[in-house]
Amino acid sequence: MVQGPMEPSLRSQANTTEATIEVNVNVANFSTFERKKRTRTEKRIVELKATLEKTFEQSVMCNLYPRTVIQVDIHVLAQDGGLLAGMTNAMTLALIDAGIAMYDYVSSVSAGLHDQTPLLDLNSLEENDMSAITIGVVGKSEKLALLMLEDKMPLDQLESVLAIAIAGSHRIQDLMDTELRRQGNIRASKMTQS
Amino acid sequence: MILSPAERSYLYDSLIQKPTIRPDSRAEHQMRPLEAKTSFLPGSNGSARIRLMDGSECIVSVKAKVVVAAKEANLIECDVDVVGFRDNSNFVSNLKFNLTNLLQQNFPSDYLRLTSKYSFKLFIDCIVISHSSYPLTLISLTSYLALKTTKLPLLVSETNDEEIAELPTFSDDWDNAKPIADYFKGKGKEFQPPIFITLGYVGSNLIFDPSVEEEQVLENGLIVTFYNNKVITPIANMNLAVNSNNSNFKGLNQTAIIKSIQMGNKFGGAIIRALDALIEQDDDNDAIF
Amino acid sequence: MSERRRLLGPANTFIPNIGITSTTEEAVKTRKRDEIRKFFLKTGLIENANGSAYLEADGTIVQVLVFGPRPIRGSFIERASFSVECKFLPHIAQPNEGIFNTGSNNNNGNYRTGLTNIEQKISSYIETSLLPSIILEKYPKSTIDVFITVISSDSIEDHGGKTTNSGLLNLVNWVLNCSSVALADSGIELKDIVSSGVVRLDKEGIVLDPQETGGEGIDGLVSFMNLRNDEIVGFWMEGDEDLEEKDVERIIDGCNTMSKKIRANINSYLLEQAS
Repeated sequence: MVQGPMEPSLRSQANTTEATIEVNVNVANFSTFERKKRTRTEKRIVELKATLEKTFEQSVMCNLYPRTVIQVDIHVLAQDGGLLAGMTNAMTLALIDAGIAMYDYVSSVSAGLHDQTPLLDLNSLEENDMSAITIGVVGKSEKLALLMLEDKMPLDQLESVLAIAIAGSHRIQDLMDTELRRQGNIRASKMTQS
Repeated sequence: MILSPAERSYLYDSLIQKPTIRPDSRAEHQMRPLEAKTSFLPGSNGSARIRLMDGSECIVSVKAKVVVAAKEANLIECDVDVVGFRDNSNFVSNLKFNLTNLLQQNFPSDYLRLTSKYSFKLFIDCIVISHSSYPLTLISLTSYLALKTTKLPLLVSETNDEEIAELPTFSDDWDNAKPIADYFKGKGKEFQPPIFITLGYVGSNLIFDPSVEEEQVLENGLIVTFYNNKVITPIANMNLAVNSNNSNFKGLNQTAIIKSIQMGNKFGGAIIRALDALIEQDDDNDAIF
Repeated sequence: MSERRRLLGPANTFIPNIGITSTTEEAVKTRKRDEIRKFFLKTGLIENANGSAYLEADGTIVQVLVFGPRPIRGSFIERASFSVECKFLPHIAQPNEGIFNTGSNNNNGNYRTGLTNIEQKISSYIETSLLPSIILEKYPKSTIDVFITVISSDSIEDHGGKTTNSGLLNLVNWVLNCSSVALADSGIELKDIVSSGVVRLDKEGIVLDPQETGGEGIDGLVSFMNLRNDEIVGFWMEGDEDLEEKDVERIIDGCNTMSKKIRANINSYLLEQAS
């Protein structure tokens, strides 16, 4: 859910030259297989929040909205691997839906390395077992807005993992684009009817 | 939301008319239109989402877990999470207390017993994503839908395990899972989770499901429970407009309380029927938005 | 020679009788169904507060402090804001806490921060009930805060394996009566003193101020402004039986009877204080 651009609640939060992006991550108790209470101050969640904020500061045209806050609330209802990737993609779509100006899509996917084979989009079982990276690609370029590696990965293998991940992200971007255009057409036709 | 004194007085005057005139031209017993979706969370036994026309949205998930019955104080545990409120704030705690109390008093949890030793325990988690009016009705209607569509896996092991010490085992096939309602049918009772109805009291009128503007001018609020086709306890009154400094707030009289129960009895059934119809109409397409 | 390895007390020790209560108080309480228990009430015990009251009814001990009207900082408000906070002393068992206070992250072992769900619920009930009685318009740009401490509670929560909220309602009844006396003591302008009654409706009829009743029935707690046409300011019913409209009427009437008795007691106490 995106709120804003709006007046910040505290004057001190305002940045005179550009907008501040504030992300709230809420992981539901029931999202994983085992039900577990999570607090908003949990280290992992704080890190995810900071990562997302940093990623989108680059891609949103923040300079168009000075003195404002763009608040994004993310609710994770169910998860099975690729948490950060899912949140990034959802946030991109939500920001576009809110009509906030962005340079390009940020599409994201996770990829792991099993022995010598790179694997795309791991589920949570796979994620626990092998080293994985999550990347966010800006548009159709090969520019990375986000790269997150939580454990070790041999340097000589990184290249191939990145290649498959970037290809995957481009595919996801196509999917997002088609869906957005479809939704846009539906809305446009509704507007012409009324 | 703060209304100006002029808006306040206009709204109050129209609400105390006989019959009452509500800003959205609803009848006194009419709820706000809503849109619902059930069973969309793959990781939960039951789930539901309700969206109201004013943008309020609530998601409820029901998860079941097998527990040793003797070790658990209660077989139902509720949690409420409201975006923008701290978990231990008065607002959230009250919602949680009310919901727990409702299900504790009126949910026949004996039927969750699997064997003589083991039982299901239901975890009911509610997330209120956004709300404008007091969200208790919204939460209780959503949990009604979620509970009604909750499916529990089919037990394949023996029900009597007093002598043999083994964990209950379930059928691997999710298609064999039965809705909670089926657990109750065997015991000769229709399964119908209880719901809350919030009523506003203004003038001598009672209005169902007050909207956020109406809450600002109410003289008092009542929370009525509806279960098995009639109004039952808990019933309580409360100030629905939290922190509003509502200057109209005052006491009730006996006739108002009696009338609220009569109205609940009269129209509660229609709400339940509407919800049941919603579940039946809900098609199984995968798009949830 | 005296032992040096152990720390011994002085020779002339006196051992206090801890854990031994006098047996005279244990007389079986037999109250009539329409009789309410005796209670002890005292106001003005706390010097620092604007108003205070202390109430004892058998094992239930409640203390209420009222602070205000105090000025607030910041923007102007036309009417005073009113808040209630109810706390149990940490060692007191709260009614049905096993059910209502689960899963909250503010119960980490020995200490806790914030209020539990039960405390929050009691706070809201008291706030809702007292709100109509206070003339908030008289105190612009100020705040009135009520702090309740439950020092002891003898509420029973388990009726033969079935959990009811009868104990909770009984406790809240005394908390409410004590709070309104504290408000009166503070000198804040009131429309009326709120008083309340608690009853249980079982097969034989109405029981006022139920304490050790078991089994099925409907419990009701109703708070009134008795001088203002018996206006109902607080209403809370619990129970699991079938509910008929006439039962509700009987419960409200029963509560009203009890409320009036308590009100008469409060009145005579306050008059005595004034003279």
